[in-house]
Amino acid sequence: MNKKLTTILVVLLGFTLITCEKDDICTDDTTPNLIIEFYKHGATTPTLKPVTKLKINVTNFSDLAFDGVSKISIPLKTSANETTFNFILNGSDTDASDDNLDVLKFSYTREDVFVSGACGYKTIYKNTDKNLTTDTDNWIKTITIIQPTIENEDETHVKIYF
Amino acid sequence: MKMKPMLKYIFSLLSIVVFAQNSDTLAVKNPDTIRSKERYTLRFGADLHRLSKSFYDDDYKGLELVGDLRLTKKFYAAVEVGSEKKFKDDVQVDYTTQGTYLKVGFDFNSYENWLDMKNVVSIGLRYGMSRFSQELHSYKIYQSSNYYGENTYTPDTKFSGLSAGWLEVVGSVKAELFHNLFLGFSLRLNYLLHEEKPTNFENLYIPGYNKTYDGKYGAGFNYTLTYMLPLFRMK
Repeated sequence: MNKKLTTILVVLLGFTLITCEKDDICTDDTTPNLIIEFYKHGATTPTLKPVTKLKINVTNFSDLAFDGVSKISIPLKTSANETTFNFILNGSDTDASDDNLDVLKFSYTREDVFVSGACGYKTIYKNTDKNLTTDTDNWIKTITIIQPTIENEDETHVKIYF
Repeated sequence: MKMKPMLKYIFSLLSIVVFAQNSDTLAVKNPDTIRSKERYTLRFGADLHRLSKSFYDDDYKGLELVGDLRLTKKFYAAVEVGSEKKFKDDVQVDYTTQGTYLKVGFDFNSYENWLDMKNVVSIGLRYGMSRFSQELHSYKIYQSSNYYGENTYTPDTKFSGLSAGWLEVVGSVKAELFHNLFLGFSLRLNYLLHEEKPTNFENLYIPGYNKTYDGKYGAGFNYTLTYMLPLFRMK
């Protein structure tokens, strides 16, 4: 009987250790990035078009570089209701002569949603809207918000035609 | 941070094994037990772990009173009542949980005492319930790229009137130190049955139940010092 009890207690202890271990590592889905797909402007059927040496940054933050891809993901601010990006085509190389800067602003409403103890909160974005600053030489021709509610990274939120 | 509770559990395991093995050898040595002076008993005391933690851990205040009443030779009705206040400075959230709890159930003593010894090696079951409040002091938003750096928000939101209920499987040992004075240890596996969650937050800690995190399983333990009051004799 006591051997049985010892076994029970050891099993209990095993459970205890398992329960104790999965702690501080965040493995859940957290704040989603904005997923953008690039398409060929003026095509009769939608055609994905890879970007060349695209540099993206937010003023005062670091540069993100994309080359040869037609789908990118970039982070939106979780502390403000808008994020203004500089989209610089051919900007990620050292040759500045062919750089083309377009300023693109995304505005949205935010909601902080609890995820878990390890992850804390995530921000989801709703009613997303866009504004392209018009300049003399916009390389971005059309922007379409296809999913104004940004709550995961499973779908494309924005399509850019150029 | 994580090591401290682990060490405690390992120490606990050792103490159980030592206690349990002792009882085995004792039982073998004395197969002819004599039971002539069995009594109904009332035992009461306090959890030393929660009491001492209240002194050495600035983020914790807690007290648990325990008691059991012997109903038959092997069955005890058991109760724990307590109060806890815990502040947790976690990576992503800082919060305080405060509340009271009550656990009621029974223990089944599997230990064959010899002569007039009164030791207990038991397995038992409890239903636990807690009423508590959570205060979310601050939180961070998790963004995997961390492109903009981290922002901490301090809403200081208080969620009152929360509650939870759970089942506990309890393994415990109680050894008589001196006359009618017992030192005990119990290990508990908890299964959360129901809870009232705060809006857009979670009960990361429930008084009496312990921390919850993912899933419905939790665990806890206590070290008790109890005094046993003998009542009238069993027939």
